[in-house]
Amino acid sequence: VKPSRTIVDLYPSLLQPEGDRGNPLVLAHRAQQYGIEAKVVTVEPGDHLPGDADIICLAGSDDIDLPVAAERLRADGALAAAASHGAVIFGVGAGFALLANSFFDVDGVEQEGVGLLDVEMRDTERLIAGPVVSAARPDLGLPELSGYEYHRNTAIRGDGVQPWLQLTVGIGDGPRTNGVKSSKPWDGAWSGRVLGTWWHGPVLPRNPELADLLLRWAGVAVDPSGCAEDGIAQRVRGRRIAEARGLG
Amino acid sequence: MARMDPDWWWQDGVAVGPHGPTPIPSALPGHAAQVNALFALASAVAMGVTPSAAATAIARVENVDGRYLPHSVGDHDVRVLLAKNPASWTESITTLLEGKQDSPARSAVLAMSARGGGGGQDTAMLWDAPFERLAGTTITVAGSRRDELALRLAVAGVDVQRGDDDVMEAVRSRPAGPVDVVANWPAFNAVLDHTGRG
Repeated sequence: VKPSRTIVDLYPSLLQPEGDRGNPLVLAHRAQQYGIEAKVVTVEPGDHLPGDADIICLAGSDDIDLPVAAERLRADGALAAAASHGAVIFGVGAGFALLANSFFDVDGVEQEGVGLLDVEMRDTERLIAGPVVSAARPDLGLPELSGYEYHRNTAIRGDGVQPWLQLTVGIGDGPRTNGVKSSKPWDGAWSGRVLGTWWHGPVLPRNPELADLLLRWAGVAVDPSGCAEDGIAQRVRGRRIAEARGLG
Repeated sequence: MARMDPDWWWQDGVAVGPHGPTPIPSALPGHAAQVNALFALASAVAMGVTPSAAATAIARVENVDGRYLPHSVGDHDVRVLLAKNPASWTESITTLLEGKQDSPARSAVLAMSARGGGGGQDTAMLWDAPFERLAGTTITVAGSRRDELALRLAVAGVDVQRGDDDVMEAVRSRPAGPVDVVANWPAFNAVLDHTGRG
């Protein structure tokens, strides 16, 4: 059994993070609580992406540097190599756009993505931003989740890619996916161990079950019974869900 | 890109500029206040004020719109710092650590509240400030967003005490003595409504 885990915070200086650091921090903190040594490694453009990375977090805002980040990641090749070796990849906000085959930048120009998710993007020509709530996914071990969406693109998923969040509050990608129309909008894309969402910023601190899903994919035996702060996270989430529904 | 050579800098607690060293016995705590004092000194000198006259005036500043202002609240000597973005939370962490070094009995209350459209809804910035530097210390959280603060601090390894929605109640819950309150805008305003704006 591998004794430690390496969690990568990818290109934070280029991708304009807004609290996104919370995602790798919480992954490392929980792994430690499960008795696994874990460290967060910050990888900036030009740095070497560790070959033994277990979970790689991409984040950030829609920004002029997004095409530069995509170009760097494609030229470097290390992210695609990590994915092919089974690393877990988690993209939020602009990080999700980067993982797609293509995306539209802030000027509305279509750009080539890294292509780790078979997803094309559509330019919505407006900013979609606000609190979101998603329905529980018992099959993934996920209860109702709370977040904040922030995007100008919407995802069109290929055949092997599924949405993984169905919104009870929020706009997401709309109710149509993979040729089927649903009653509620979808968000996100999931293929193998690559997961993306338009949810922005510190998604994992408020949704520890999602952090545990990623840790399980990375081979960590999770046991949240000893995680003292989960009660706090659930209070935060409960309040934010009530506010999102206009009851707060 | 390269860093420019500064015309003014701090050295061993003394401001050094084109005119040589100028001591500024600043009444305000923390590294950020020291840097601000240096900017004020450089600006005043550029406008023709002598360094010593500027330093004397700067040293008389004991609050900035209520920030840093000392208050007596019962048995507590309180000073209030404003934190409204990742940079100011980061500087507040330094100030808390410096205060703890000067006076180990000093308590810390961190407060975050949301008031309608008046700010405090977005707490994501907490994850961009290095609260890990406070690991091992005890901190009381207050305000309507105190659970979001508590979550950030718990992940950072801080011993968190859940205080009241009311920041002044949280202050009173601390042992008698000096208390640093770091607050976002709505919580800061709530404290100054109670203690006065100086």
